[in-house]
Amino acid sequence: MLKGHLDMIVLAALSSGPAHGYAVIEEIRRKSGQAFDLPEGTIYPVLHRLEQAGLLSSRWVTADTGRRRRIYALTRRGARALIERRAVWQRFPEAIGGLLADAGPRGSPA
Amino acid sequence: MISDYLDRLGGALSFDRALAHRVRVEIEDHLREGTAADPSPDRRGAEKRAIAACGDPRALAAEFAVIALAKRTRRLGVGVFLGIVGVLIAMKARVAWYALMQCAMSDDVRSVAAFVGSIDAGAFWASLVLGIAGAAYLGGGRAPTPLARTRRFRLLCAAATAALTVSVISDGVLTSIRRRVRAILSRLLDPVRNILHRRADRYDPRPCAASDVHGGVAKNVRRRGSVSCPPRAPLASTVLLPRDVAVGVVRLISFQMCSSGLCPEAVTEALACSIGGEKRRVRCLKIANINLLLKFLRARRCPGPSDIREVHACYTLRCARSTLPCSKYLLVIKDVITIHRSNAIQRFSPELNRAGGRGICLRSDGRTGVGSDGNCLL
Repeated sequence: MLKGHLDMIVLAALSSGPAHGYAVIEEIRRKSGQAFDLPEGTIYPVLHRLEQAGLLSSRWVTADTGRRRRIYALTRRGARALIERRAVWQRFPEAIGGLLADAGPRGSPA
Repeated sequence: MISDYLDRLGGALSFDRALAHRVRVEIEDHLREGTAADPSPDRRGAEKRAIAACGDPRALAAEFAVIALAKRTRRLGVGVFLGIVGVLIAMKARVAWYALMQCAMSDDVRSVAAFVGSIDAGAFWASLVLGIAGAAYLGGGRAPTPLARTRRFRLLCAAATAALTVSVISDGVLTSIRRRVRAILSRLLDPVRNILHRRADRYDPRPCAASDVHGGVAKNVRRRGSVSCPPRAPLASTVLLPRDVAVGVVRLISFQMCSSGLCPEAVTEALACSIGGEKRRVRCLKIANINLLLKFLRARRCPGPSDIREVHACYTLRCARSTLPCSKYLLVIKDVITIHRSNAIQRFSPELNRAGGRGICLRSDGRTGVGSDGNCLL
């Protein structure tokens, strides 16, 4: 389930501002209350795919440590995609809640 | 330890060196930062934990491979699209070239060519539609997974390529149909080049010098109502060439519009007709380009009608009777150059001069025009 929503999670993590891969993972951990403990490497293919799809932009910078670092940021298209996915997601728990409310224990048919 | 991990990752990504380099730099930064953030004083243990958190390098490379495949597929789509556009341009250029070269075909060949041409056009447009559909599908992203999208896109590309292949084969058939015409054109090259290097040394339009050449037989054009245009002897004795003539070229010295006089010298070196084949048919070169020639003439300061008054007088009468608009033109033969099979070059200008400097009447569609009364229809 987490893998299916990884794109939305990464977009949400970048909604607060541009960040590099490690910072994105930290942000996901922080915002999810350490609930998401996915293999850290899997975030990079997602970042690349979202960039190819035009939802993210990226650029190289030099960190304080002297290492080169790739910074990712939401594009306008990415921001719109996040809004759309958020709206879908917000309807999702309501729909599931409605299903579960009607799925109470019943007696077997006579 | 980190270097080993990065080496294994780079090796797994060796199919794309640029991607491998970028991923290596990114992952190295990630691992170094993870190691630095580890509170444990055990540096080696911190690196090990950072690597473990990062995951199997082969699994990571596999995920990147899917993305790289999608990117390459997109490039393939662009390549197919550009290929289709290139074929379209080549097809249009070929058609324009045939029109420019006056590649006339017989009615039988024309019907076959029309059928093959319809297959050609249909296959081409099918390939174009399939190519565009493939590009739209790739950009739409409605497939459940990138792999499924790539598979369907490849199917569309294969269908577009098959249709394009049919189109190219049809093109080849069309070209072979015109092989005979091309052979004539190739034989024309040398004489035309020869003519283009010559200059008409004088312009000597004879009054009422128009005759009609149709089907290889020249007929005199009657000139009703023109006192200055007495009947002439048929031109057949002049235009019918010896049987050993391989190719002939008619040099034209006069270009005459019915409504206005234009510079006759300007077309002296510009137009040529060939005479060849068993039936001594006259085939004209560049006649289809007459509109460009008109522009050229109009852009120059050409002498007025008074300079070519005699010729003008004759054809104004004929044009006035014509049902066609007066934008038609008339060309007058300067002389005929023939190349015999023995490569001997012969000029027929003396014969033409004896026959009164006869002309050839051509309609602007490139064909000779003969009315029911034998008149040249302009």
